[in-house]
Amino acid sequence: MKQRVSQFDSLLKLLDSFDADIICFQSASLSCEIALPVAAEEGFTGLVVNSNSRGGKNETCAIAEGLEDYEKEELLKIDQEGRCVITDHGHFVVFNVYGPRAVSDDAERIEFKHLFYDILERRWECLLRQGRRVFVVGDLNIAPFAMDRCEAGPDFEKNEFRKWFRSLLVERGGSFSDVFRSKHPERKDAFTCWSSSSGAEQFNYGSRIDHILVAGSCLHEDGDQQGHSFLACHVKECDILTDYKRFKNENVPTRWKGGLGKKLKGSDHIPVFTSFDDLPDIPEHSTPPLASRYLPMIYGFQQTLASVFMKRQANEQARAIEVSCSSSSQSNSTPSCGEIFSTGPLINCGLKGISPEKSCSVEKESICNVTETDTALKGSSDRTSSLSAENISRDGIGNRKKARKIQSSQLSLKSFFFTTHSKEHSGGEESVSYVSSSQSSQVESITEATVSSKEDSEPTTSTQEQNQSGSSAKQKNNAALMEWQRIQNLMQNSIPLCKGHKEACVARVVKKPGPTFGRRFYVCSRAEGPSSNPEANCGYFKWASSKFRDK
Amino acid sequence: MLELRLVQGSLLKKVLESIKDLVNDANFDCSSTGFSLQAMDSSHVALVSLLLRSEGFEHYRCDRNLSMGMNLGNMSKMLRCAGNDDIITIKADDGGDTVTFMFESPTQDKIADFEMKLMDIDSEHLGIPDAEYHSIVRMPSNEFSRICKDLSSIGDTVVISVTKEGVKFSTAGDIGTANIVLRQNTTVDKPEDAIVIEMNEPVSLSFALRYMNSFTKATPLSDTVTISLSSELPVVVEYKVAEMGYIRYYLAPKIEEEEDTKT
Repeated sequence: MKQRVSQFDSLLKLLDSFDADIICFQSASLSCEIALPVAAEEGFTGLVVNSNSRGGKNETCAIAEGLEDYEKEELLKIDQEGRCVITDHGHFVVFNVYGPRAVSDDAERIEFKHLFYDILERRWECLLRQGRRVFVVGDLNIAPFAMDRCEAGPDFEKNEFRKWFRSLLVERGGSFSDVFRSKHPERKDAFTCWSSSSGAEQFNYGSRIDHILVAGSCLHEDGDQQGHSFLACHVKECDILTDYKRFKNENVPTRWKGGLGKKLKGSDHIPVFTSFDDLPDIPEHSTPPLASRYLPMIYGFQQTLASVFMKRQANEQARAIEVSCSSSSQSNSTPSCGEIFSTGPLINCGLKGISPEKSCSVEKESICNVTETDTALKGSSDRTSSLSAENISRDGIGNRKKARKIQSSQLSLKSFFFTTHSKEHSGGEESVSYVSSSQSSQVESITEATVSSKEDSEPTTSTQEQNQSGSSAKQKNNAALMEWQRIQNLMQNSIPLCKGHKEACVARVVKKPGPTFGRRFYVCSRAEGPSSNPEANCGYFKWASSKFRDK
Repeated sequence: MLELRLVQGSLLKKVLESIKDLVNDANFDCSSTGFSLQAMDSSHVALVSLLLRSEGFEHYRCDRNLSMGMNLGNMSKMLRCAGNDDIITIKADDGGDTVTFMFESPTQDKIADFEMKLMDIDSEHLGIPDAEYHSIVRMPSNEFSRICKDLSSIGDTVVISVTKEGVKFSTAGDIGTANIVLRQNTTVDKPEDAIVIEMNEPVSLSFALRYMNSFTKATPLSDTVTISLSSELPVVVEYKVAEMGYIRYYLAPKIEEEEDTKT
C-alpha cells in the first residue's frame, strides 16, 4: 500500500487515478467508498461490535437475518478475523470479502472456510430474496475453473470449494455471475495473484482468485424481464489491471536467483475493476456510523501545533473559512459531491489513521506548516505578529499563555535545528568533497592494482607504499590472492548445478516439522513457471550431503 | 578419546551464538593444538574460521585428530542449557556417533550431561592463506555492530572506505543515504575504546550488510573487532576469543550489478 501511495505522492491522488466510485481495498485492511453507502457493516453475521460503539454489548446485537440456525459463538468466531465489510449502496449491496486460505491438509482451516462461505451464502440468499442486488468482490481464495490456474492438474475442478464457487454461478443454476469471465469467456492466463515465495510473477504462473460477482435483476422497469439481468444491462466492462503487476520484464534480470536479488515491493495480487452504467442517482443520505470519519483514531486526529495557530489566525482574519470548512464537511454527507470519502472500519491496521478525507486536510495543514516555518525563519517581527493575532483570538487567557509558551519553545527548537543543520552541512560538504577526490584516486589504484596483478608489471605511482613494503610482501600477497581465488572457486563449485540450466542452486532448509526437519537441500534458483517454458524453474532438487550418523 | 574442559563455559556459548545463524552444520576439528572449525554459510559466500587453542582449556586431551560434524542449531540448543558461570566439558570417543557436553555449576552442586548426535558432513578443509592487508581497522565491537545495524535500515550494501582521514561506512537506499566516518582515536581511557586505523593504501569496498550483520553476532565475545581490507582479497572481520583464539569471518566484496553488465 505504502509503495503504491508513494508512486502517486498521496493516497488521494492514487484514489483519483482510478477514477472510480467504489474502491474496495483488501489486506491493507481498508475499505473505501467514494459513492457514499447508505449503510455499512463490519462482518457479515451481525454480531461484530465495533469497540467504539457506545453500549454495544453482544446481548443487544441481533443476529443477521437468515443465520438463526448458527450458534452465536460460531458466528462470532467466523467474523472475528475481520474478513468482510458490507456496504449498502441503495441499488446494490457490496460484500468486500477476504476469503480464508486453507491448505489441503489443515482440517481446522478447511472447516473454517466451509463455515465462512456457508454463512456468507445464507446472507446473500436472504438479501436476494428481498430483491436486493448483491455484489461480492475480493480475494475469495478460490480459482473456479481449470483455466483460472496455471497448469491445473486433472483433479483441479474436483475441489469442494471450487465446486461450491461454480454452483453459485448462473450457468450452474445459481444467482451470481463472474463478471470477468462473462466479459472474457475465452481469455487464458488471466491471473490476479502469484506466489511471491517462488517468484511466479516472472512467468505469469498464477491463479485468478480475486473476483467480482454480481447477482440480481436490472433496474429497467419494463415488464418483460426476459434477457434482462444486472450483468446484461448495466455491466459495461470488467478487467484485470495488469499494470499493477510488480514484476516488470524490462528492469529485472532474467534470473530470479531464488529470491535473493531485488525484493519485489507491494502486493502479490493485482486489482480487478468493473464499471456499470445506467444507474440512477440515489437520494441524499447521511454517512453510515461505521464510516472511518467517525472512528476515534481519525475523528479528532492529532493536529500539529502550527495548524492550530494558523486556524486561529484564520479565525480572526476571516470567519468565513471556518464556515466554508463546516459547509464542506456538511457537503460530505451528500452523494453528489465529488470529494466524498468514507473509509471502512478496518483502516486502523493499515493506514495509520489517515483517511482520504484526512489527507485532504493534511494537505491543507502542510501548507499551513510551510507558511509557519517561513514566518519563523523570517524572524521575530513575524512572530510578534502571529502572537498579536493570537491575542485577539477568542480563547481564554490561560490557553493563550500556554499556547504562546509552546510556540516559543517550538521556535527555539527550530532555530536550534537550523543552526546545527547548517553546521553539519558545511562539515559534511568538506568530507564529501574530500571523499570524492579520494575515491577517484582509489579507482585509479584499484585498476592499476588489477593490471599489475594480471601482468606482473612494474609498480605504478599510486602503489608506492606497496613498493616500499618490499617485493617479498608483494609476492606473499600474490600467493594469497591465488589461494583465495582457489578457495572461492572451491566454494562456488561446491554448490550443485541444476539440471535444466546448469546454474548454481540456492540452498534451503526444511522448515516443515518431520523426520527431515532442519536438513539442507538445494533447488533450482529460477522462478516458478509453466513446465513448457525451459527458462522457468526446472524442478531440480538435491539434499545437502550432511546427515545424522546412524547408530 | 577427547576431553576438553573449559572453565569459562560462557565463551563456548557465545561462540555458538555467533556462528549458528550463518552456518547450518559444520565439522569441528580437534587436534593436539586446539579445537577449530571452518565452515561456509549456506550460499557459499561467507566463510567462518574458529580457533580455540588447547592452552586456553583447563584440561585438554585429544589422543588423535578428530572431526565431529554437528548441527549448530542443535548444539546451540544444548549449550543454552548451560549456565553462564558453568564449566563446560566436551567429551567424545574416537569414531563414536555422539558428543557429550557436561555442564558443572561453579559450586559443583549441579552436573548436567547432554549427549548430541553427530553428523556426517562432507567438507573440504580450505587452507586460508596469510596476507598483508592494505588497511586494518580496529574499533570497539559494539560500535561496529551499531553501524551495521543502523546502515541496514537504510540500504543493503555497506561501502567501507579507509583513507588517511579515517574509515567511512556508507550506504544508499530508497529513502536516502547514510555516511558514518570514524577517525583514528587512541587517546582514550580504556584501550578497548580506541579506534586504530593502519593504512598502507586506501581501499573502498562494498559488502552485503546481511552478512555483516550476522558477523556482528560475535560482538559479545570481544570488546574490539578488527577489520582487514584489501582490494583484491575478501574482508576479514575478526573477534578475539579471550586469550585463547579467534573467530574470523571472510566475505568477498560485492560487485555492483550495474558495473557487472557494463564491463
